[in-house]
Amino acid sequence: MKIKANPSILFLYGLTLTILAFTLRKLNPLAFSSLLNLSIGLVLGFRKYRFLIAAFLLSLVGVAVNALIFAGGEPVYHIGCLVIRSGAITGFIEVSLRLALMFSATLIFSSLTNPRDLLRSLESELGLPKQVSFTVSLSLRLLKIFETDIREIQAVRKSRGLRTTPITPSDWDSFLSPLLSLGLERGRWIGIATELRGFSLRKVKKTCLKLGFVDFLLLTLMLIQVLASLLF
Amino acid sequence: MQKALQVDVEEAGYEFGKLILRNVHLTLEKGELLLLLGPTGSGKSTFILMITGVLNNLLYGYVKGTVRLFDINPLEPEGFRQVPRYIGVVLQSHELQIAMQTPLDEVLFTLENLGVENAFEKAKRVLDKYGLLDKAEVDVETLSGGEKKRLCLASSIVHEPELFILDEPTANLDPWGEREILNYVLELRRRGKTVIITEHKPRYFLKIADKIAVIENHTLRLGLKNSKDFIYSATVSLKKRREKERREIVRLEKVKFRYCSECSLVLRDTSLQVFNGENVAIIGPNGSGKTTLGKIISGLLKPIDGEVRIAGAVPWQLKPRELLKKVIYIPQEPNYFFVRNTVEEELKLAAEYGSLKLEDVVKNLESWILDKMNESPYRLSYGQKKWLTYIIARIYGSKVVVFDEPTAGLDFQLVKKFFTWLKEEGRTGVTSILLTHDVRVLENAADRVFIIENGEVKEVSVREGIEILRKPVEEWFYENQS
Amino acid sequence: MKFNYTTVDLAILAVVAALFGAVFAFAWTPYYAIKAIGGKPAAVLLTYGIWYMAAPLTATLLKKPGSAVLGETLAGLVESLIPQIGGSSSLIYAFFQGLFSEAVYALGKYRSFGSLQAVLAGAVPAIPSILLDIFIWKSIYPLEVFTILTVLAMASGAIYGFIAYKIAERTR
Repeated sequence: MKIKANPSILFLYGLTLTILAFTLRKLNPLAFSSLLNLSIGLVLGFRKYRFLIAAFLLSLVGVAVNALIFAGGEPVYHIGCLVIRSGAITGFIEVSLRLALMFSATLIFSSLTNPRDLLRSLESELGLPKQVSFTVSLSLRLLKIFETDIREIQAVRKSRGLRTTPITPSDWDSFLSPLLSLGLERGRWIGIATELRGFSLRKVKKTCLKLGFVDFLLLTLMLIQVLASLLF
Repeated sequence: MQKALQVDVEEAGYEFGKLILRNVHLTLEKGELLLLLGPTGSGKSTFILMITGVLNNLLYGYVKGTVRLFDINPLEPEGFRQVPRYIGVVLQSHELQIAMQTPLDEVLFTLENLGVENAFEKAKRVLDKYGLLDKAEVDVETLSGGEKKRLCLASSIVHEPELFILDEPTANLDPWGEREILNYVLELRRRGKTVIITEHKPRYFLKIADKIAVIENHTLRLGLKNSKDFIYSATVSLKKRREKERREIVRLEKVKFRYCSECSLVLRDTSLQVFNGENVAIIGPNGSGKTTLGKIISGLLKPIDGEVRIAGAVPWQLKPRELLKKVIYIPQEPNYFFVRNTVEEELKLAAEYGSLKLEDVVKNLESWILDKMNESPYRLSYGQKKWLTYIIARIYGSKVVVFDEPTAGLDFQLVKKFFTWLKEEGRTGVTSILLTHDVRVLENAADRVFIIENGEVKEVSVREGIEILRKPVEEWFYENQS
Repeated sequence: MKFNYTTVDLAILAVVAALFGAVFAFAWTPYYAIKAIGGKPAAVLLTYGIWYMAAPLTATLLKKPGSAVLGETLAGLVESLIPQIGGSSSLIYAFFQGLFSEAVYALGKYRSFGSLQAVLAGAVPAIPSILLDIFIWKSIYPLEVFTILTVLAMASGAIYGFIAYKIAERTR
């Protein structure tokens, strides 16, 4: 069963979750939001984003390591010569919940919609200025071309005996210059071609914001979580 | 009768005090085809930007004079806003033009901008005409080069303008793609459309143009003194293979390659043998696997099966310094090749690897390079950039040099120079592998020719190769005699 | 001072946003590689500035008010639309980083878009960047660590701000 949700609402929902990840102070509302959305996100995105979920779990390992090293508090456990402080445990839980909340925003958004539909929705339903939607749409298009550029540049660097992964600022300098040079030429001409295709005349017909059951559900959830963050 | 274009301009440029064009006078009637010639950098593109109003309205340039496009004045802001209704534009590369993520969005874009009725149906119809309907909603980057070009043609025509501007439309196309452009132009003529084509490779368009103009010394001149000025097709000089000292330098045996486990095979069962000092051309349509083959020979890609030997060694097993001594790959896009901030530093880096002293290298360089030693390579013109990559490759002193489309985008003067240069390199024992679809390479430089078809490589005679490359367009002219 | 953005300006904004969208996704590799060998301080010093670069680069290219914050925010938006662990957080970081960079140019009344401005515009985003980090990570790291990170990130930003200026001037 395909779940239909309005892309703009999804985007707003994801953004709200991400803001909450920064602003929630108390553990209870944080745990509530985080676990609720993580569950939804995992259910929706488990098949498509297996790799990403694995990467996320790996990042939690990094959090655990940092918590062990840096966090304070009374020593609670001893495993061999490893000392686990109380601060490490609470710190690990809290940071993981925050990161999980941000991650669930991605899972929910990416599983139910895509950037192209989002831009169309924002432009025609929410009146996003054509300049913004054009710029974002064009960057998504150019992104793939840059990825090809990066591969080609890496091949040449390898054949000329240089590092293929830039490490020092000077590596980055020589890496970014060709990318920018090519990009600017493309940008200039695409800008000209776009103007010659009547961009300044563009007036997108505004349509009404159509909301479905899922959208109302999301808006309700959003409201509940925001209230929970303020009240508890 | 209303004229399509009337230009009377004294001066135009991007900045006051730096004029690019002067004394440009031109009239174009409806339905005429104008072929605009001139070397790269002469101002052909500036002319286009001027008559469409882009130069002074969008790029902060200036135009002293008048331009009339049908019944509007594109130099005035109000007229400029209406220009899109009158013109359809095709630029030299899809990368410079396609702005949207899917073919459908791309074609709809112009229609939506102009507020055209039934935009959706019109879009679908034109996609169908250009064979892109079943790919209407896929990501543009997944299309082949030919499909992307067709998308550009489709979006230029969808709003049915009266004037078409094609800026070097055959620039990156193989002979099969050039045929498509010729079909497209013929269709426009049949519909009575006015067409302006700028080219520096005008071989075919000369036959179908109504008016020919040349931009030279900052001004526009009608008519051609001597058509040979712009066509370079020297007589074929078929070379005999040098029989003495034949040493195998490149060997591929039953090479198979695919980019990922789910991808289809790009090369299957590819075998070839090249001997030192030869200039070998590998031909085939865009997308046939020439670049892939070139990169395998250069040790940049590893085949999934089969044997590769360059001067007796397996390329991907060598350290960078050793590999460079044996083979170097020069990409089609020169911007990919540079890794330093100035021309001098590029040459220095190459000299280090080639164990040459920079002073010795500099002694033999041409003056224009010496003038640009402290400049960034990215600020050179396209032709200069390409030439710099050849010089750098020569300094590395690799035994085998793989050129990917070496003549693409070069003016005929540089193309001539390149062939002379190749002959010299061959004499010093350097083996050149030329991945190309340019028939002039076969006519003037190739000793041997291989063709890639369906992932397999087959040797053909130079004469056969020339025929294969000339056939698509010659057939077209035969079919469209009128 | 022109404020209006032409289609060519918008296209250039898109180019920078896409460039950094591709680069950011790719920059995590050297970050982790350096971190493994040289530790977090080295990783921060050598890579954090890359995430602040879009602002000074766009400003040096377009030389118009708003270009710093727009360039950085759009790059963050593009990064956040690519499915990755951080979700929309890139957008939030980028927006505040961009604002601080923009402030540098605004304080100079947009009269100059030179190397000094680029260096400052590269360094200054470290402040909101680490501040936002504090919101997430404060239960693990003590305040001293954040202070050191801010200094390292500012240094990194300054270096890469300068590089942004150089490559913009080299390729215009």
